[in-house]
Amino acid sequence: MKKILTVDDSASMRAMVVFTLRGEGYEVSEAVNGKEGLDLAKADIFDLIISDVNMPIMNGIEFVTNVRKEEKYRFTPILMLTTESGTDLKLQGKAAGATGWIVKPFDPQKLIAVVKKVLR
Amino acid sequence: MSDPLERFRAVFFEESAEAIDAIERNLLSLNETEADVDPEMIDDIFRSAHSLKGGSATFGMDSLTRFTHVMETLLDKVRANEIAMSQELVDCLFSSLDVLRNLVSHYQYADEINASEMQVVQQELVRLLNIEGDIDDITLQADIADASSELTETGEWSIYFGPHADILSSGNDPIRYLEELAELGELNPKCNTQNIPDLLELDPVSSYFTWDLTLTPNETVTTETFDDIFLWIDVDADLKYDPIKATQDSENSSTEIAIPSATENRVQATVETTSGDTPTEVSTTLEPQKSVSNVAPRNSENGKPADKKRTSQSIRVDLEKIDSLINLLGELVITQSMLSIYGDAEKYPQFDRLSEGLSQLERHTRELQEGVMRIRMLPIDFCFSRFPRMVRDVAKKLNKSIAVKIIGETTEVDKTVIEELTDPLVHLVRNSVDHGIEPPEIRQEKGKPESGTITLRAFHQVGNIIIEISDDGAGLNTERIREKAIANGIIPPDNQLNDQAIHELIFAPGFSTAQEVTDLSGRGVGMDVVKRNIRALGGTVDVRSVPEQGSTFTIRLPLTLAILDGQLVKVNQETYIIPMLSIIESIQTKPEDINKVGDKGVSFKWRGNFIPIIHLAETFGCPIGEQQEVEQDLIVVVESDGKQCGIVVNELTNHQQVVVKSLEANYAKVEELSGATILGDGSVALIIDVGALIQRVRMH
Repeated sequence: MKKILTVDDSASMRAMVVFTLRGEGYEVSEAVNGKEGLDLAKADIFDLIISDVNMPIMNGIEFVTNVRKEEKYRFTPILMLTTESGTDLKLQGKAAGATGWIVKPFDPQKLIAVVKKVLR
Repeated sequence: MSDPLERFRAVFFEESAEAIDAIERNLLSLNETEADVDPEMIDDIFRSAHSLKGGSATFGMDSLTRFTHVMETLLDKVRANEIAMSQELVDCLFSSLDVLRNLVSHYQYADEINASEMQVVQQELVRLLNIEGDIDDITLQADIADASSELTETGEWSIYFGPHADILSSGNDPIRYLEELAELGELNPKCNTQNIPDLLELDPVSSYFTWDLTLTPNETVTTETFDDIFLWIDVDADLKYDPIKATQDSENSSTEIAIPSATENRVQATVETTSGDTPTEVSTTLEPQKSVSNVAPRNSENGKPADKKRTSQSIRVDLEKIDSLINLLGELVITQSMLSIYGDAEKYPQFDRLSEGLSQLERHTRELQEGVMRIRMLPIDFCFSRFPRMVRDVAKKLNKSIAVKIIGETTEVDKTVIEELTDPLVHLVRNSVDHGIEPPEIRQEKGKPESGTITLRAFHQVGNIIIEISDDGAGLNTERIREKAIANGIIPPDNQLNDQAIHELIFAPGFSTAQEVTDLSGRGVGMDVVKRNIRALGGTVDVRSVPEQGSTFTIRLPLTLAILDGQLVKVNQETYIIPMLSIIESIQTKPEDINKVGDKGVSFKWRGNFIPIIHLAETFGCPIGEQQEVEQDLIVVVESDGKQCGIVVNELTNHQQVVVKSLEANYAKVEELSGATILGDGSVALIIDVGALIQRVRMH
């Protein structure tokens, strides 16, 4: 079973991601901010990471930068779940090592499609 | 939005309320230190608005999304120091909170949207944003995407896909994109391998391939289709996609696409094709949207993890479940005390192990009871937190400057008490704002700081919670209260009351010193109602006031309504419980102090006044015992609403905490009783409602 880590400070967003992906048979872990996410990521091995951008304590960009530094996550797809899709953010996300982004509003079908695509 | 998401709406609403409260908290602290705006706080406010926007969009709450979007845009400008924080802006954000609350409750409870208010606030936000034109211009990204998807092309496309060498290290895989292209129709790929270096130089984690592809789409595709597919890697790859033959030469778009595609710099070209066709008006109005994303999310190491923790680690439990748990515990306490008589080691020396076990059981039961009681407890902050905002609004209306100081907001109080306490507290605080704190000019004349302070303080004191509301205002006007009380016939003109007694008169029914009725306090709901509400909670309220230094209202409440501090009394063979809070003293009377009518005592002299006597045995129809001489009895002096009476009892027994059980739920409402409890020996004892009992005496 593929393991997915979702990092988001919003409980409703987390709940929806978890619900949607578990429904597809993925094993999903959650974290409420980048710091917690990083701890989890280090402690386990995930096949895909989905992270929010705006979070307290450690934001998504920092989180991705740090995760990418881990040897085991060098090639792991990391998606950013975000409200914005501006070029600046893209470049920042890219620079940090994000694979791609899913733009809110959250749509379960879209999420499933994207996740399936990156986890072929 | 699909159905499965519905279940998360409740979580979203809870979250929204938290987010709105968080914004309010931050705004309030901003307000105090206006000159020195903490970027951390702006960040926090921004983040809250941002979450609201994201969530509401997901659930299709369009009005909320649109409104938070404008707020967020403005906040983002503040964050980027493009717009300075001003009083005007803070006020506008405060008004926005009301709109947000209204919108959330619209979606949550189908309340009506206050459209006019929303309109006004939204326009104000836009005005502060300094944007020309209508609010509708600040549209969401999606709308713009729709507008520009007009160009359509059919026929074959030639595609160049040249991922950069480091594409794999962003978690992307070129194959994924080829597969996606293949889904569009018939794809003829040609892989270019000329970039592959010598084996010695080959880096196994780099990508060296590029592709030239021809696509014959099954359905109409546009440049947009490819933009979408390559969305994630348009900076990680050289891309080019052109229709091989344009269907209509006359169409502007197709020529424009064709021209830049011929240039050397492929990435550049694609960017131009996609944005070049977008009408200029759209890109101008896009400005605020762009800037949202321009800002680097900042490090918020110094955020407030404690707050986060509290919300994420709590669960919601139906109050009924907790109450049934408390009830069961009550039973356990009773069973335990029934058993404890067997723990008497002197009486039952053969059971000394049992006695050890029983004393342990007693300790654990007590700890368990305390623990369960604590579940019902909430920090009083739930009630206090509304005051800074309320005071701010009211003070502004009155042109006063008032700061609110909160001390002991983590003090825990029973949930029911908090709910019942809120109204009286609102009344007291409004009174302080309205009548207590003087206008700034007068304060200045008196040599006080221009800004007044209202302090809310909560703390525990031997099984009670004490709440103080103090202000540094003018204090109560003793003379005016005296005049008013005489005019209203509350006290006789020749009274000899001292200042303290006069102050207490403000709690008398039908008393109001406000010279004119303002829209805040003095609208008929007097302090007597405050006092009555607090009484109903088993508490007391009093006032201390020093002229020109201010007044302090002190509310004293039992920690919980589920447990009562009671004095057990014996009347003939029955046991009754009198709440400790209402007892003034217990005395053995001398026969000459008692006034008799016939051979029955009706009143007695207590501290120089005659107060009525109640014979509990008679009132409740207790079976008559042998000795029935009032002279030998004890009298417990109790007080309610400033009126005293003496309760005649045979014996004072224990003073203990009892678990209150509702008489109404288990039997029927009895006027002079507030409940019942089960004692250690399994017998039932009734709890006396002192207020009702005194009223009864006064009526007869």
